Amino acid sequence: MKGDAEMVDVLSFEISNQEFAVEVEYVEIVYDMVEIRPVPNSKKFIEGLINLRGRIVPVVDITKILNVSLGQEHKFSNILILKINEEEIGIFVDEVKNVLSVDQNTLENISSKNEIYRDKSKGVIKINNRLIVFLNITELMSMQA
Amino acid sequence: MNEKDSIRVDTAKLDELMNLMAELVIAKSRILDTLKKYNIKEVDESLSQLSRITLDLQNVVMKVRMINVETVFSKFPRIMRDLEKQSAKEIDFIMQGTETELDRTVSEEISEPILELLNLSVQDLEDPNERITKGKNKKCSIKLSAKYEGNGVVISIQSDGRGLIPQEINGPRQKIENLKGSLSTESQKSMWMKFNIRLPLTLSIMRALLVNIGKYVYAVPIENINTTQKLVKGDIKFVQDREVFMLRGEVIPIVRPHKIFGEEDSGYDENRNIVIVKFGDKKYGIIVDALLGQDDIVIKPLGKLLSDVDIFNGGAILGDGSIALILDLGALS
Repeated sequence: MKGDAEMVDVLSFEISNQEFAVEVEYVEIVYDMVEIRPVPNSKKFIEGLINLRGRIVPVVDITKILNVSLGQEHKFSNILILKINEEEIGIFVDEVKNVLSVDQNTLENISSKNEIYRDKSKGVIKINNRLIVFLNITELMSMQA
Repeated sequence: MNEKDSIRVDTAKLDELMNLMAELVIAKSRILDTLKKYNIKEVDESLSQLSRITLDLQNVVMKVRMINVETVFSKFPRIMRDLEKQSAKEIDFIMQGTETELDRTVSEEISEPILELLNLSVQDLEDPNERITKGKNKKCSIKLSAKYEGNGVVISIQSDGRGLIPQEINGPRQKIENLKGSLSTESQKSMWMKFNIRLPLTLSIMRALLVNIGKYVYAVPIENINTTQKLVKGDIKFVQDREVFMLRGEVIPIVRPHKIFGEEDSGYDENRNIVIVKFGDKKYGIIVDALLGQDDIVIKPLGKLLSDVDIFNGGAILGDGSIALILDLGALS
């Protein structure tokens, strides 16, 4: 479907040398890494809870959903706080890059061996030399994952 | 109450008042924690006064948010008359304890599950002919009642039909559990059936015992605690395949949260503590590593991502900014 450009603002961030992006409308704040309170018996990708100015917010390691392998010594340094369907959720990131304006009609579909990406990624953003996985964040955080 | 003596208040303002109250309770705990370290005699009296005033204020704020269950119940007689007509059963519908008060938010949300359970109760009733052949009174009875119990309210629906607990109670159960309540059933076949909805008085503030399990802090609702005790060697005994504790001659089953949480457990119980709790008609002992003392905590939801974790009822932020998880005693037993 070629036609008018469908622009959307996204925030890009890096995890283990891969770039990802989510719509800016879901982003609340970037937080320094704080102490994480683990929750026994919770889903594997939920790292635990943080105290975000008096609110309790769950923090997710999306590499565990997307099967991104991390180095053994890997330590995340930031938490990106998102607000999805009125609920705050944090995700671990290495570094937050910048806001980009992207035309949704120009996303690349890179075939993936990993079935997970079929609905959890909206496509790949190609800008200059960068390849950025545009996450379908609502799908990614859909509760059954 | 005289209508002249009451005013209408925007509920958003009440919610804000409740939130501020919650923050105040936390701030108070923090001050008490800090000052305890220094043991200053001169502030003792002012501190206990502050504690008393905060508690009074908390009670008042809670009361402001309470409404009679009457406001929820009042629409049921008409609905029951409709159900009676549709089902061609004769039903004597009785309501009791309508003066019992509940938190406004809880009241708003509880009407739907009650209605679903009333519907199921009507379905369980026999036709007049079947009742006559069974030797039962031709007229069926359904009783909806509310009363205070412990630190909460119990709403019961009792019917005198076949006494077959329906399969479809998971819908209402989910809604009740979302309100931090619980649903239990009792029945006697071909005689009666009873749904018990247990609800907290308020959703947000609770007095709790803080304990260490492994290296993290957990909160146990004070209202459910029977007693606590330091364990000495030989206190925990094996009976058949269960571990038990003897409390003044009473055999109390043991729950080991270390195991449930998948934590490493030395299994070495000396110097640990047992917290004996009562939930519903169950009594059991929880083995914990340390007792940290009582505190007023503000219950915060853990969010949808954690809705599958049934062993916790929510979380609370403690005076030092760390997070405690609140044990769900119904799910843990």
